[in-house]
Amino acid sequence: MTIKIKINDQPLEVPEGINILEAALGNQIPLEHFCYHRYLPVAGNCRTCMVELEGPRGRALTIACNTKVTEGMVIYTNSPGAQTAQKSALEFLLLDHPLDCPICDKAGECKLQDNYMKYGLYDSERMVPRYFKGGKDLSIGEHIILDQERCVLCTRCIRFVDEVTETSELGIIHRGHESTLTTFPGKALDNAYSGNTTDICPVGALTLKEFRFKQRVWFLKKTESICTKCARGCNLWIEQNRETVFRLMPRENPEINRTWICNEGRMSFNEINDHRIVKSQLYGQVDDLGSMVEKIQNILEGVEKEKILGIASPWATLEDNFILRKLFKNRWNLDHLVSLLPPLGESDSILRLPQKYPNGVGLQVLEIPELSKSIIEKLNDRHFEVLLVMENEFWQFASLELQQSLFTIKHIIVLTTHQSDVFQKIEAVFPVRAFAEKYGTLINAMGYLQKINPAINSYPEIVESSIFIARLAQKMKIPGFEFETPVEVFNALSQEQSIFPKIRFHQIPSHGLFIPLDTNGVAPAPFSGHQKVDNVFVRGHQFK
Amino acid sequence: MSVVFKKEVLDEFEIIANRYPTRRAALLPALWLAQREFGYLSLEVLDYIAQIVKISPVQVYEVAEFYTLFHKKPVGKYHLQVCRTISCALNGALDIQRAIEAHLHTKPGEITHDKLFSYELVECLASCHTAPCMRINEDYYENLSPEKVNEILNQLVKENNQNAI
Repeated sequence: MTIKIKINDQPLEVPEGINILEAALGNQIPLEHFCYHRYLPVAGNCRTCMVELEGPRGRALTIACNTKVTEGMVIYTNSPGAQTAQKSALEFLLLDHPLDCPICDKAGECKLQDNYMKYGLYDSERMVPRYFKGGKDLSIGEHIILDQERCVLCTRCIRFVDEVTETSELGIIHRGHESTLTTFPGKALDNAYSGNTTDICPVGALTLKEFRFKQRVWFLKKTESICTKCARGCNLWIEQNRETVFRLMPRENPEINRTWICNEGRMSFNEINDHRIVKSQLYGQVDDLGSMVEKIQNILEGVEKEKILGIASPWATLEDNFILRKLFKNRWNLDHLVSLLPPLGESDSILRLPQKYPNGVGLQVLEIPELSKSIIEKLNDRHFEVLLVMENEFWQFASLELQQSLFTIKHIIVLTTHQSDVFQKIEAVFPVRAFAEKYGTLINAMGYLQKINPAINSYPEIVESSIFIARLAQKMKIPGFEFETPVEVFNALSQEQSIFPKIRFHQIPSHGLFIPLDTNGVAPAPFSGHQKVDNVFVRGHQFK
Repeated sequence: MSVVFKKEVLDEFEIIANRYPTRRAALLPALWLAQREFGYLSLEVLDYIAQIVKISPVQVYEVAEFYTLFHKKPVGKYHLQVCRTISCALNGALDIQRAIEAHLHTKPGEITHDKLFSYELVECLASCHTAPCMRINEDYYENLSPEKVNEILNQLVKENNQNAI
């Protein structure tokens, strides 16, 4: 159902039930706002989204965030009355705000800065001395620093901990100009989603310890990607400068993660930068790539068809697994390609799922089974001569027994991204690109096909697992592996796998493509205790 | 020492809480009970109230900090609340304040060394027709003058000493 309204004399058709603010923003009509957040209850306390409504008794001011559009509504966002109201509300918010932007981490993406430059531009008319309140750098949790002076009391963070995580660690004490954001003395803001409070903070009151004083935000380049820490597949921005990832920020996706991510996913940016391997290693010693590839090629060409075991990975992309499967199908025994999955981890009813890998459903789609009893029996009989492991660090989670029998295999070839002590036991380790460095697709537990994009290119000399295996296959003169990029692999894959609609890589929308699959009954993100948001996601306006 | 209500007080609270459709609505009465029982609302008390009202401690903290009638610091046995709003001010509330300060050697918001008196300034006590006035604990003292204040304070000290014997 759409209804007709008019904003600034511009006739518009908008969905029924949305508020004026969403109607304006969704139609590229700028409107100032602080406290309104699309996925939190409306508080209406900042008063900056004032608009004028045409009514029977003339025009009246109202806040746009808490007023639903109705048929025939006539709204003005830029009339002199509305503009004065917006500007005055902003002036009040800025009255006691410190001018420490040069040392504030929010500078550059601060709503107060942006709105002042856009709607304010007045000279201060303060006549009374400034009121200083609260502490400047209070550590209120493992990841969070609170600056009480910068807070504009929008209560977004309070609504977040009340409504989304339902842990209620934050509150405002005192009254009037003395109102101060705080935790209960001695109690910390330490829930699994606490990092989100720093994203939704419109100013620099809540900042993330891990990002504090690390980088100015205007230097960061953003790339759309997907979190790989669990099967939810939350949408991310990877933000990097000079090939170093400084933070991961949630990217709005109303179906999957709204604008939230868990701390575990947020803090995983360190893994992209640290402990990477970039050189191929022979029993833990760096060795020449060319000669090692030759050696491996000889081993793979010489091995009997039945005597090679492949381990695919729920962390690798569809493309990587697809190419590995194709190689096993064309050359060896497909029954001997299995995956190893880590034990189930922590989960909750917000976002985190117990499957701590991003592409388990992708393995199901490609029909790569988990390690079965019959394979374990064969392993114990020392049946296999070659083990080919792709991006699966089984030494971190598999049982010691299983590890032992895997490490007794004569030739072990591993493609991986991160350094480990076990490389001394492994014949050949080849570096491959990590998720922040490559194109690829993942299928999350809800059945969304989502793509990752390369954010950094720190190691241009190394390639993706899929391309590494494809080149190896080409060297081995196996036809059908003429791929240069994972994008080509995906395009071939979507033609071959009947379950995909026949689309090309660049046609996958940035918010994912739903594929009706039997995904073991994982329901959409429930967002418990949260009011239902209908029709609010207006395409074309990313909410921040 | 952990802060816990006595059995009778807890029963009293449960009767109050059952009057409300939601348990959190009983927060203000719970804070009154706590102030009556413990004298003032320390952080431990607030934490305990959060447990029995079943809400987050910071939400109790917010409410307790909002209302000036809840004491967040220890108060004396006799807590003086002196009106400073316009009717009392016009009728000499300032003299009353000076008299109290001279007598007790305390400033507003402070407590005497013997913990007998504490003194604070408040807004209108709704007794403008008998201005200037003050409240000591639950009782009003009206049509005050500096002499009358000294008399009252001496009387209270005497009363306290008698009770002690």
